[in-house]
Amino acid sequence: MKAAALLLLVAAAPASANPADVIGLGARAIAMGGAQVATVDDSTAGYYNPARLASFDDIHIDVGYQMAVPRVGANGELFPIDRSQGLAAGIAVPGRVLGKRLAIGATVFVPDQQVTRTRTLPAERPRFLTYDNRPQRLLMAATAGFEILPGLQIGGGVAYMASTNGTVELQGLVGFPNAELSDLDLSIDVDVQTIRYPHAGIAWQASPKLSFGASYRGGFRLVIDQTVKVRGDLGTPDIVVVENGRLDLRSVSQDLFQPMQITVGGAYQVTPCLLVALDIAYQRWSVYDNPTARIEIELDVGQFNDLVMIPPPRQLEIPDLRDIVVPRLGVEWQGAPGPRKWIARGGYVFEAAVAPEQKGESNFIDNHKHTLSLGGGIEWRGIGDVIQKPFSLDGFVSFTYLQPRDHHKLSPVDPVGDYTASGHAIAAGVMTRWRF
Amino acid sequence: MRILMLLATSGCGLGWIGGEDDRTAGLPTSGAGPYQRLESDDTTPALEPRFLNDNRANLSDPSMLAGGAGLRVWFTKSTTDPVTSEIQYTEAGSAREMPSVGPMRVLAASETWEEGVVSSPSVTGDPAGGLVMFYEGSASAPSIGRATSSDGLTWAKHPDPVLLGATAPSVVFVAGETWMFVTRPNEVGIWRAVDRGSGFQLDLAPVILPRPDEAKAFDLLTVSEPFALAVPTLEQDVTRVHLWFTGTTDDPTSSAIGYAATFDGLAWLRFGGLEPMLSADASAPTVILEASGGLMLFEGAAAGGTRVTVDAAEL
Repeated sequence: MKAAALLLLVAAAPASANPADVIGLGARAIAMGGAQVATVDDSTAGYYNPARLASFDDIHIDVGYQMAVPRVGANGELFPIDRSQGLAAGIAVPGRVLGKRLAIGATVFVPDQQVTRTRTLPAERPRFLTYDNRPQRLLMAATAGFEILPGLQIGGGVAYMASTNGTVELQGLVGFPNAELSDLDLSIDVDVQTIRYPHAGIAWQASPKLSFGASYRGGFRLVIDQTVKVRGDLGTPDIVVVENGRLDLRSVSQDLFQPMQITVGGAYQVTPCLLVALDIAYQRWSVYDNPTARIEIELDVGQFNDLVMIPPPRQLEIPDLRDIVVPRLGVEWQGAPGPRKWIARGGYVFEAAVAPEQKGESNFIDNHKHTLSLGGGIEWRGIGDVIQKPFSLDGFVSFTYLQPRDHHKLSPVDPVGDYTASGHAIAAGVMTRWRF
Repeated sequence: MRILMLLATSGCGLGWIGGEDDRTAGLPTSGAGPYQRLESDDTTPALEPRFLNDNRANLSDPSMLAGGAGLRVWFTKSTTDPVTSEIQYTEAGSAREMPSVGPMRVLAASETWEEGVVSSPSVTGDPAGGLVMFYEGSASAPSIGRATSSDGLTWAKHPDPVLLGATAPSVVFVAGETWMFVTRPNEVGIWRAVDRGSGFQLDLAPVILPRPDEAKAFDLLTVSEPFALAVPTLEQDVTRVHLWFTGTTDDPTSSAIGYAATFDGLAWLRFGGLEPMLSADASAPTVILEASGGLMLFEGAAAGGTRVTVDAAEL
C-alpha cells in the first residue's frame, strides 16, 4: 500500500501555471509594467498581442533570462515559496502574402528548475494564490499576425499546456499481517494530454504617434486525475484471509488555473524620445475552483468491510474569487539615434486582490499588489558585417509590494487563526534582441 | 552588475534565495495542535521528550512562560513518602537543553489554610506589573491561593485563598477581567471563575464537560487540569482564549490532551472531533505559542509509570 501511495504521489507530480502573467515576459515589457498591447515591438508579441507581429519589418530573435523571488508570508514569517527563473525566448518572422504583411512567431518561457510543477495542498494550508504554482510552469505559444488594412493588424495563436491523467494498478497478493510477503504486479497507464488555449489580438496604428491594441488570452484549468487500483488477495501465500480484495483510490484536483484575460491599451509617442503606454486588463478569476484534491475511495475486503470506516468526501469551501481590472502604465525614453542608443524604461502596475478575506477553513491568500519596475538598454545599430540590423541588450528590475492584509477567522478553534499576510517580490532579468 | 551577480548566484543555487524543503515552515498556526512529542536527538544534551526528571520525586503541573534563558518553568515537586509538595522553578534555553537555572524551590507551604501542600502553579504576567501565580493548596479542602513576584523567584503570598473548593488553576486576563479555569472536588467538568474586581465568582455551569455519549472520545470519562492562554485576535477587543485540558477514557491509565477555544468565554468549541491534540499518557499541559509553532510541556511518566516527569511536545 505504501508503494501504491508513493506511486500516486510520483504520478501526480507534473504541471503548473503562467509565469508571464505573474512576472511578465521580456526585459522591455516588464520594465514598462507590461503595458505592451499597443506597443510591443519584439517577439514577446506572441504573448502580449500577436497582431503586433504583422507590424515587424525584420526577423526578431530574442533570448533572455529572468527570475522572480517572492518574499511573502504571514505574521512576520516567510512562507517557503520557490523562486521562479528561466529562459525567455522568442522568434518572429515577418513576410508578405498577397501584398499584405504576415508574420509568424513563437514564444517560450522555460523554467530551469522544473518544466512544470504541481502541488496539491490541503484546503486549510495557507498559500499565496499568485505565487504558489503559477510562476512554475512552461509557457509555449505559437502565433501569427496579419495586416488586414494599412496600420490595422489582427493576430492569433495557441498556447500549450499538458495535463496528466493516469492509473497505477497493482495486482497480486497483499501480505497480511506481514507486508513483506506481498507479491504484486505493477502496471502504470499515464496519459500526458495537451491543453490548448487561444491567444488573439488586434492592433491599430491610428497615427504616427498614436497606436491602440486589444488582446484576448483564453483561460484554462489543469485538472490532475489520478487513480490507484489494488486488486488481489489478502493474507499469506498459504492462508488467504480475503479473496479478490479491491481498493480504488481516485484523486481529482485543479492544480493550475489561468484566468481569461482581455486587455485594451494605447501608446502615445509624446516626443520623439518619449513613449507612454497604458493597458487595462480584465481578468476573470470568478470561475476559479477549489484546488484541493477530491478523494474517492472504494474498498472491498470481504468480511472485514464492517471494520473499515471510509470517511465521506469533504465538502470544500467555494473560493469565491472575484474578477479584477488591472491597470498597467509604462514609459520609455530613447536617446538620440546613433551608433549606440541608450534606452530607459519605467512602469507601474496595480493588481487588486482576487481572493476575499479568508474567514473559514481555506486559506487562499492574495493581497493588493503594487509593482514598480525600471529598466534600461543599449541598442547598437549593427555590429560589423555579420549583424547589420540593430542589436540590443536590455535589463530590468521590478519590485512588487503586497499591501498587508488581515484575515480574521470566524471560528475560535480555527487551526490557523488570524493572520496578517504581507510581503514583496523582486524580479530581474536581461534579454538580448537580435534582428535580421 | 548587482543584477548580474544576483542572477549568477541564483543560477548556482547559492545565497539567501536558496530553495526550501520544509513546505510548512513559516505557515501561521493558532497553536491548537496536534502536538508531537520531541523526538530523541543524540546531538542534544536532553533526553527528549523528557524535559525534567527527578529519580526520587514526582515533577508535575508545569507552567511555562517564554523569557529568561528561553523558557521559564514553574512546576510541582512532590514525594509520597514522606508526603511533601512544593513549587520549584527552572530555566532552560529550549526544551532540548538542560536547565541553566535551577531547579530550585520558590514556593513552599507556609499558610495555615495550605495544610503543608502547595502545587499546580499557574504563572502569568500581571497586568499590574511583574508576575502573578495562582496555585493549589490544602489536601483536605483544596483551594486556590495567589502570590506575586517581580522576578519569578521570590514570591509574596496573599494570606487567604482567593477561591475555595477548587483545584488545578489556570488564569488569563481578558478585557479587564481575570478568568480562572479550575476543576472542583466532586463536580464534573472544567469550570470558570471570573474576577471583575470583587473576587472570583464561579459560573453556574462548567465550560467543558466530558463526553460520556461518545464511545470513542478521548475525554469520555473526565476532563481536568486546564491550561488557558488568552491571545488577542486581529479584531479589536476580541480575544481568543485557548484551553488545553486533560481528558480520560474509561481506561484509568489512559490520559490525553484536548483543546477547546472561545471568543467570549460562553460559547466553547472543541477542535479535533473525538481526537486529542496529544495522546497516550499525557496530562496537565502548558503551552507557549510562536508565530508558526508552539511548544507544550506536560506530565509524562517514567519508571514504568510510577513516577511523574515533565515532557515536551511541539506543534
